[in-house]
Amino acid sequence: MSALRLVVRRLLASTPLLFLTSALTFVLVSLVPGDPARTIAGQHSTAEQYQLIRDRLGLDQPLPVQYWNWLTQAFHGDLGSSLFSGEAVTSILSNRLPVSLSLILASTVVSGLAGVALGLLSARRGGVLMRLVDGLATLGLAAPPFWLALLVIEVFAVTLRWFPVTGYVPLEENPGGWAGSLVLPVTSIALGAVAIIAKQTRDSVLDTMNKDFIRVMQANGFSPRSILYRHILRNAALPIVTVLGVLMVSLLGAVVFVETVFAMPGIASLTQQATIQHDIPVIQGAVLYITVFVIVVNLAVDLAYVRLDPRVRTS
Amino acid sequence: MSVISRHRAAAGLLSVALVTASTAACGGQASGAGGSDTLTVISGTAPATLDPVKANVGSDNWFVNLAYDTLLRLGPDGEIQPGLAEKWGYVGENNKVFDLTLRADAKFADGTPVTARAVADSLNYARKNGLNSATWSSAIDSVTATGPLTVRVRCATPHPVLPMLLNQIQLMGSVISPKGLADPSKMGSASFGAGPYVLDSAQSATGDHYTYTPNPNYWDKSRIHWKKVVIKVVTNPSSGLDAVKTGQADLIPVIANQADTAKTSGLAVINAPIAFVGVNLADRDGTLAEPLGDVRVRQALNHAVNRQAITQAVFREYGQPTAQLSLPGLDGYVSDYDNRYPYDPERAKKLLAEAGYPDGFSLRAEVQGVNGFDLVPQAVFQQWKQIGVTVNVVTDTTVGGFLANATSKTFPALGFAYGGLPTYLTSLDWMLPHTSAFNPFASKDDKLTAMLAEAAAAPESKQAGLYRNAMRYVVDQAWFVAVARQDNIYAYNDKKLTGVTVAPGYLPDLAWTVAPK
Amino acid sequence: MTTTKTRPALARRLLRRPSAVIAVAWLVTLTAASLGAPLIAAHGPLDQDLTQVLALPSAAHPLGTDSLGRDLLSRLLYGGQPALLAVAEALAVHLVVGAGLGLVAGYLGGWVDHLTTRIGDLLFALPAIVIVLVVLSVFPGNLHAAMVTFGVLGSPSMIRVLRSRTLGIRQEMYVAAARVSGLSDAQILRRHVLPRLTSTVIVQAALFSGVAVIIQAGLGFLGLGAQPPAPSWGGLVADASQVIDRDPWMLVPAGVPLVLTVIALMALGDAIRDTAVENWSVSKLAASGPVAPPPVAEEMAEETAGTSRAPDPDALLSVRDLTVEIGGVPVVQGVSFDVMPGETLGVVGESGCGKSVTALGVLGLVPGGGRVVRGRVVFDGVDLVGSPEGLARVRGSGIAYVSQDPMVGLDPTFTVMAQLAEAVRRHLGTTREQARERVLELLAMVGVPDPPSVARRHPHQLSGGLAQRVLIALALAGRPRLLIADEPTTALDVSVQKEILTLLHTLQRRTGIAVLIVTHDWGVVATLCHRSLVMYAGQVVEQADVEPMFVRPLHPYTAGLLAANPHQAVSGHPLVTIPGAVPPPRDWPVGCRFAARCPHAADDCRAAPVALVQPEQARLTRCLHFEELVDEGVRR
Repeated sequence: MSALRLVVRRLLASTPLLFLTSALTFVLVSLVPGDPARTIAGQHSTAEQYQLIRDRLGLDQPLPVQYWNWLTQAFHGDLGSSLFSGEAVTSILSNRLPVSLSLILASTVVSGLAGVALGLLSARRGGVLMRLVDGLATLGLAAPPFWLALLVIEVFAVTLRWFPVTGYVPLEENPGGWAGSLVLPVTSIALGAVAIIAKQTRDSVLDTMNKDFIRVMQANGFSPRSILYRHILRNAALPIVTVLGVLMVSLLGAVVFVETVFAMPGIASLTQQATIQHDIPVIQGAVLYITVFVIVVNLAVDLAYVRLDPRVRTS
Repeated sequence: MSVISRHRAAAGLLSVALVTASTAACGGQASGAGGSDTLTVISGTAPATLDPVKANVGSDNWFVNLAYDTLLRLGPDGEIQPGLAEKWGYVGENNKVFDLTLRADAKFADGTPVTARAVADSLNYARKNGLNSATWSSAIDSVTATGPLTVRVRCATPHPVLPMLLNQIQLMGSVISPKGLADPSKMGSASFGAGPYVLDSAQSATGDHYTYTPNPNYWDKSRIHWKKVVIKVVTNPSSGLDAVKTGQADLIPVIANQADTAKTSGLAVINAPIAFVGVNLADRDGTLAEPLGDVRVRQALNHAVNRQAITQAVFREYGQPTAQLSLPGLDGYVSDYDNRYPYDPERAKKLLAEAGYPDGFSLRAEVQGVNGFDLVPQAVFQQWKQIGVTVNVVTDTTVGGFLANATSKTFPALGFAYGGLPTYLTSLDWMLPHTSAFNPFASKDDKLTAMLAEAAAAPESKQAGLYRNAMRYVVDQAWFVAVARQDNIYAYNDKKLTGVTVAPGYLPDLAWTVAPK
Repeated sequence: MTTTKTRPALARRLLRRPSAVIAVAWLVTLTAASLGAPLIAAHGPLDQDLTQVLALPSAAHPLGTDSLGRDLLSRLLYGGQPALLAVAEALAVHLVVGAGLGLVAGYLGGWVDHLTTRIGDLLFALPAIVIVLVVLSVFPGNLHAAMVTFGVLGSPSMIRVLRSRTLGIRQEMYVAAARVSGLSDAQILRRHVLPRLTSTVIVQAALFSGVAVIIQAGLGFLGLGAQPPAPSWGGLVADASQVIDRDPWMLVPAGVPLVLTVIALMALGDAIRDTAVENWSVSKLAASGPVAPPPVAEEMAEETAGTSRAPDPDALLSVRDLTVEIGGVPVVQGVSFDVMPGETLGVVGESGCGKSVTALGVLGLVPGGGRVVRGRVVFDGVDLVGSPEGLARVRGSGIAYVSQDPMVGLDPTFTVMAQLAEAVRRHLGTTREQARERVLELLAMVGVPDPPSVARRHPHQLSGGLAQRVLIALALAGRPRLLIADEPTTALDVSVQKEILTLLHTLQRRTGIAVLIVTHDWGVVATLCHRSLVMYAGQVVEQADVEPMFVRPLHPYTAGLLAANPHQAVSGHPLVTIPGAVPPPRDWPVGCRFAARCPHAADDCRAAPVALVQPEQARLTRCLHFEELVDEGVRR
């Protein structure tokens, strides 16, 4: 099937997901005790002020009505404004999107490159390196990102002072600073991810090495370099790409913690914070963005499949 | 680190330090500090909003004060100084009528003059829409312009501390321009004040960093010390301090655990009492927990607490044991009442036995799960165990949840952290029969109410004595177990900055006094 | 293998792995210590010593104390209780939902499978952590709700794995048989499917538990788990982060046990998987340890065998005493033969006799990590054994190789043109353009219709016959002098088989290429070969020109194979088969390896290794009683 048709079909199939997550979030958030009006009003306001805030936020309307209002607005590109700062949700999110995307993309690139390299190496050398990758994989997966983040801060930022402790430097402001500000957070996130990719790479490379066509190539004198880098890697790439896609989505979890510890103004920490404040429009918007992100990642994986595997392309 | 975010401070003037300890999960930090004409400070939380009357007193003051001048100004010595108003004072007896005379040369940043009309409109907007001092301004009946530069505040009941309400600490005195009042929703992202600086939206990112540049129309150019003031939001206390240590920023509120680190890395550290923490015995009528209805039980709970040990453990030298709700230098402070309830478990047990609870009892309590806020109540509950009182603790991780629970009358005891205020303001929250998060059962004590009414209407010279009596009375009645007063601590680069001062009830004044060395 | 035996065996083998032992020991210790915290811990989790705040480890507080002087060891142990409970809850939900749905979907198939897969995909696309956060704000501080949610959201991975495993098992014969024999679905699931899924489920469960430990600690860290002052693992990390400026030490007791627990769970999962995999893959060839090779009668072979020990200088390929081991087990022993220029040699035998290993051994490409341990492979005067350079020079341009199943013999991700052109350029060093032309020539040469169109296709777009032609073209790309064809027709339809044989025949006549063809089909031997080699249990048992061998086999095995040849079956008579099966390498007997299946076997056969003898010119047999066969043949 053509790439375009795949994209269209995928996007159509994703629409229910968007509805489902937004409706689900809406219902869940509305169940949250301690309504936002109470939080906004604080403790030095009067009962009338509290009711006024409720009216203004439309909290007394039936839930389906509230959701419908949100939905119709969302269709027009208006995701409402934060119940607290009054700032437009789209503007809050677009401020924060680059941070989370930088983290996730940088972590994915790092774990993709380092993981594939390590995996290849351990597949070829075996023995000690293989054990090392296994060990690193286990350690990387086992160390909670929030703890790892604290540890790398303590060691590399506070003690050694190699990298900034916190914060995010926008790319357009200072590319060097941007990269520097990502090193430690990405380390905390990517250690486990590198390990996962390395393991997957090794397994699928070993798997591919045992395929008949590789033996045919070896027997017929294809160059070992070409066999490894052209044929084995390309065939092993499919499961690696799948895992990379899954990883990108699951990195969101680690990003929540890492954004918190490194004080980076990203979407993941925004979601968590908005959840606590019951800032419904912000939660809705953030979940919407995250869902779209998940859809885009899955789409990218599918497109990579089409690119890599002619069987998908022509079936 | 906890997740409580940019919350509405749990008390009127809650220290920035406390809020820092709460480490919100938002915000971040921009690029490195600017040159010598740029002031970069760290805030532990992002402002709830930039609307002066909705912002949090304490944690959001810097964000508001830079762009909004207040009618009056509080000095570090506790003296009220002129601000946008040159002259002020009560008219007649009973502290019910208050007149202000504005300076003639003040202009808003947009160039329009600060008129009595504009001031009255701004104050009325604050009374109606303000969230940070609605309770404290509830006595005010009307605010009117009585001339081009004169404003009159009329109160329904005596309000003895209006000057305290209209300075830069309580934000309701921040004067908002007519343009701002025309569309208040715009105040979230732009400033509409008559302060020395204006918010530069282009160089700011909500929740991350806020940049202020000088206001060309400011009436006193000598107050403008910086070409640029940047407030960075860094929610992780360690990270924030490190930013100052490495020169990325110049000034930061820190927590007690950080003070030594700050000192050893060559920063200046200053501190002053700011708030008190402890457990509020809210159910004084014994509605939910019958034992609390007996004053002997409440006193026993006070005697069972080793304030010295808790204070030392939690705050180290940045806190002092106390049993009252006032700070040295404030009107209700009774110096010998810090030790009104010496640690004496035997006596506590005896009191419990006298009240009919020789084996103790159990009760539910709610604490706010913000680190630093819940440590002291936890320690208290643990010590109560020694006299047989067991506490089932519910820890709220959200401010909304805490407030909802606190006012739901389901918890007889509540952990608290409350900023030091003139006793009149404190009494509105704690001692008078109004439902509030600090008096959810609207406990009523006629004698106390009468004492407070007398004090509120008294001439200034007599107020302090009367309020001290009220404080003694309420502490004797043991309506709460105050444990310690806690310091507000700041670390800053004293090679670059001068004029950084902190005092009880006073925050470093970025707008006026923090200057390059 | 029956199920009742498997599990204890699995557990026993598992405990042979040190990593598994350490992991289990840690998990058991931790669980016991957490559950028995009241008995073990010297302090209560809330007991505060305000004079010992943030103390470093000491005799009184082995791990130090926290901000209120509470004992960290005690808080760690007590905090283990909610942590373990939370993980158990999530795991239970995960197992019920994930394993249940996966099993049902894989077993029932149809719309149930379709629906389950869709739901799984949907769940998979949800940002789990965000949903958990939202759920937690609905049920503040309710770790149970959070972990149940997480168990559900984490189930798609389990669903996927179990579904495909179940699907595979369902399709296996014996389940079909069980269904026929009247067992209910539930019984089949319980008796036949579930036992084989156990290790898969355990592996998945261990991995999931590791993640669940981290998640529950993460929620605690964010202040959303167990409520202070109650101890929790995540809360300890949060506490540590609060005092990091004053007491970095606290990060250690707060984090290390957490990390160790997850590592233990993962190591356990890995160990179970490895153990289970090892269990499945004990094949005829690879065993779990080296065995002593059964003795061979080589000294006799030298004296009597027609092929001398020295390689034949006239031969194109001269193999001597080739011995190959896989996993320390000899699978081919003392094989010697020659291939003359332009000659076709057939290697015949049942599967498992070492034919393919011999063929690949010539190319130095023994599968399964095996290696040539002895012998010589002289091609064109160069010994290839232990000579990577020699092999590299010979492969493709001296000796080429065609594999058994053409459908998997080509790289599925490249076009025919790309693969052939790569081979051409590699061997002939031509330009890109020349290579393309040569590819089309090659394709025409192997009888591919419309070469340009076929060249553009990917392997999956080729039929089996076409793919085999392409493979042959690939083999011919380097103008080799010897073609090794490993059962080149086995995987093809009968009609196509003929075409390929004809093609090989034609090619050989036209180019004079020598062919070594591995087969179990006498028809192939009859059509193509000049000489034939019969292998049994890793040894050559007979060698002769094709015609004499067909007419008068001198080894009972050859005779048996010939009798079983479907081409020679007389219609109306049942096909004769050789009773029994080829013994796996581990079970090779000392004496004649065919004795167990041989109608002529006597005691002397079993007593000692049997040597190859040369009963007549250009014939070899490894049989003590070949005369009996001759007589029999005469009688017949």
